[in-house]
Amino acid sequence: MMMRVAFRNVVRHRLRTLFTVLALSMAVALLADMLMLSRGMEKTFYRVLSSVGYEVRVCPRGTLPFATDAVLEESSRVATAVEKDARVDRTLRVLGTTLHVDSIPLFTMGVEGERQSLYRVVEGHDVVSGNDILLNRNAVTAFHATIGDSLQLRRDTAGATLAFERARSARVVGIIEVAFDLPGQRTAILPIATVQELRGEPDAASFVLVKLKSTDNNFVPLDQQRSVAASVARQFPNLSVYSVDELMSALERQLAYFKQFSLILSTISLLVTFLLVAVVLTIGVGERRGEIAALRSMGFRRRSIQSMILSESALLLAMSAVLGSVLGWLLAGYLDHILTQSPSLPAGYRFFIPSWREILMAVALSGVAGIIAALLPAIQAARIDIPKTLHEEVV
Amino acid sequence: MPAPDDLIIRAEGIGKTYRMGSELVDAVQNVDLSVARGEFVALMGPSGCGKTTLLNLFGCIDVPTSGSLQVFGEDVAAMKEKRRAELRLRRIGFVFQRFYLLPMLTAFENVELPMIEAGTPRRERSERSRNLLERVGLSHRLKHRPHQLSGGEMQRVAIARALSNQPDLIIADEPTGELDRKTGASILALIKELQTGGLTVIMATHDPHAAELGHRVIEMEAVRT
Amino acid sequence: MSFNHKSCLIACILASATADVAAAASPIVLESRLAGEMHLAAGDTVSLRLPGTSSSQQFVVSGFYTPPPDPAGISRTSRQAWMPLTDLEHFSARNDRVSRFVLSLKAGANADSLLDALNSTHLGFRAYHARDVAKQSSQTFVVISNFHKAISILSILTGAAFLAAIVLLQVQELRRSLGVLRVIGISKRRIYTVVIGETVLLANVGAAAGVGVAFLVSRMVNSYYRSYFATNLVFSSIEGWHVILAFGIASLVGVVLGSIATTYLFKSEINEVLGR
Repeated sequence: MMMRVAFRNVVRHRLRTLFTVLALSMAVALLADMLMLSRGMEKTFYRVLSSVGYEVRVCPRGTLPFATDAVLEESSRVATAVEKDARVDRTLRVLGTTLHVDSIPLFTMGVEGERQSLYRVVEGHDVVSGNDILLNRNAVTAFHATIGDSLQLRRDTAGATLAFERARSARVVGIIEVAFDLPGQRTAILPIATVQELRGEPDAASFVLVKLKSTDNNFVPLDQQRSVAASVARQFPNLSVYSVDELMSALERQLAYFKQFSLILSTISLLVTFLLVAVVLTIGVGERRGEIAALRSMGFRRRSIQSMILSESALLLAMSAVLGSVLGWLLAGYLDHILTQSPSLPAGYRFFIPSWREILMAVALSGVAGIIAALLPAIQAARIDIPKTLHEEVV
Repeated sequence: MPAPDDLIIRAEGIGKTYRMGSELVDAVQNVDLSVARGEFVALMGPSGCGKTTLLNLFGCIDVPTSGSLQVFGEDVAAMKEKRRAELRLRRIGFVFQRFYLLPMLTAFENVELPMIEAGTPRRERSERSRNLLERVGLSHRLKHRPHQLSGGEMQRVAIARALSNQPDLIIADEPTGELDRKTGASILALIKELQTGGLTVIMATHDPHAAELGHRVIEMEAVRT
Repeated sequence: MSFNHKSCLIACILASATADVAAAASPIVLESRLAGEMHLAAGDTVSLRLPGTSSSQQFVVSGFYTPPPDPAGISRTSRQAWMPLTDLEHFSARNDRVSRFVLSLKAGANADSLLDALNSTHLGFRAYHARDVAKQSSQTFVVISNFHKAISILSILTGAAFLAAIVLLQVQELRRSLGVLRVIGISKRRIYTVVIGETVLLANVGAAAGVGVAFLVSRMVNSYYRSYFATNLVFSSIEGWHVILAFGIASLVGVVLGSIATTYLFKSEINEVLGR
């Protein structure tokens, strides 16, 4: 019955309840989105890094993969030495550069050998000979190329000087998808020896990827990844070596701003929930002092009065939870759309990954905040001085 | 002289002092009164003489600051609030001047409310609510909210509510204070009818005609300072 | 002048504690932060090595420089250094090669026509106006700014709804008094004036408190992030239009919701309003 009384109290003032629920819903939605934000970027980064299938990365000292133009000059020596570790399955040397086709820039990765997972061949086959080239769909569209076509590759900047530079011919043998591609980026794959030749840097590599031997499900425990990374780092103190989670830590600084932003806004959302419930219920109790005193005089226990007030809070929070969950889900998509417009972000990255886990966590946290906020008005209601209040109501 | 076991109220030298800011105010001083089961006692006196305070003490809403007060044989000052609430719920019914119906509940639900708190089973309380409202002449107003009722009808609902847990004692504080003469008379007639059925009633009133309905009329004076 | 060959500079500086200065050592200017981080002073000798190589070259620290705050570089972990171009070309074995030219024009010179002329030469480079470069490099911040705007709009809507609920509560509290005023014949216009005046006042008091809190929080944000990113950038600033917006919204909600709530009360049954 107290729930019925609480419900009637809540709907007694429809407009007030509407705005209260609206404000609470937005607070719940914002909280849910901020929880998604703090986990979304990390999840996406980790997913993309893990999808490449290599657990350790060996880079020039102080650099991150493709973050600079720096190269490892004796990359084959490094790769050979790393492969001697019994825990290592194989290595992959990668050399990045920018080539031009008809003055159109083309980001090119030179890789070696087969059995790699840096990219996925969706049509055709992988590179075999030194003249084979793979293109992503953006490159295929830009060059109007199909499998079997020949492309003239040149190094350095576009312009008339290119006319005097010798071109290297390559045959398109396949179309690929690359997880790290930026939106609109044109990417190509060539054998590493071809890229080294074009750059005039034999045995150079931008970094070396290391694949570890795994047990089942292709999973390598984190401590083993770190152990191999540490071992390689000891062997080559002039290089930077990262396991996947160490790479995540290196990226932490870039993620720090968003994580802190989400923490601040989450706190504010909870504060708004707390304040709104506290204010609405406190004023509501003040309005109904006479009613409450009459109930107490009739023999209603303090606990019953408290449960009535807490029930009102629970009702407001329940309504807000439903609306807030829907709003939060929709907002996540909208906010993600804004942030993924960033030009320096690979196409597959997400900031917000709609998830019921975060929504339920937001609802639970808001619920706790709301119930705590309702405690003081509930206690105040139960402690109303009956004779004094009845007297004041008559006056 | 009623036997001690028949006394519902036994007050000896009771007083109640309130603090108003820095001042102490004696609302009631040195009252001796006994009320036997089945009696109808009317309290009369000018405004501010302490009628409401005395009713609050008898109704276990408040606790005396001096003297000895026993209600249903129990010392009120020694009772914990929980026990006093229990008595108010199950053995005492209140009728107020201002009705104090819950505005968002229907007449039926207002009457039902104390029975729910007392844990009465649904079927029983539903039947009793209906009967009580019929008894006070409001069987056609079950689903009406207080603002849809007249003053007299609201007071009838309040009376039905006061009877919902089958109390032994009814405390009525100026039950006709907000009603016109005719309506007030009908309310008083209803109270008298209920009392005749064996209920004990203590009623505070300004109205001499109302006071005449009682077995005893007690005149109160304000505390002299 | 800086040579944008990051691989020269990133984490490859080895501080030398010796006071011995190689007679042939070239001068280098380092970013100020390195003075504290690596306990360097002018006159010290440092060894630089290109990443992935084993050979190094010594330079003498001729001074320190603090680059202007750059939003694009707040999360930069690398450090910068400056040296004569010829020294860097020699060190990196990239003779007569630079990443870019920056041009300073004579007073009154037409930058757009120069851009057209340079770009039509097809000599293997492209020229850009500095503002276009700035625009392109700040795209990420445009995105972040849009994100902040979206969150701001949501926060404003939440705050407005919160305020609306409070205003309605406030008017409801006055319910009985308003009922009595009606009964005794006070005009509706006067009642509206009183109620709306009160709701607007309450809302603006809240807005004033909110602006005060905003200034405080803004200072805390700047203090924290300047320390975290070791920069003098301004991360948060409260401007005049923010304050005007806060009071504007508060007043608007006070007027609109106060009017709606009062109108609703006028339409209610007088008995219900008086609580009878």
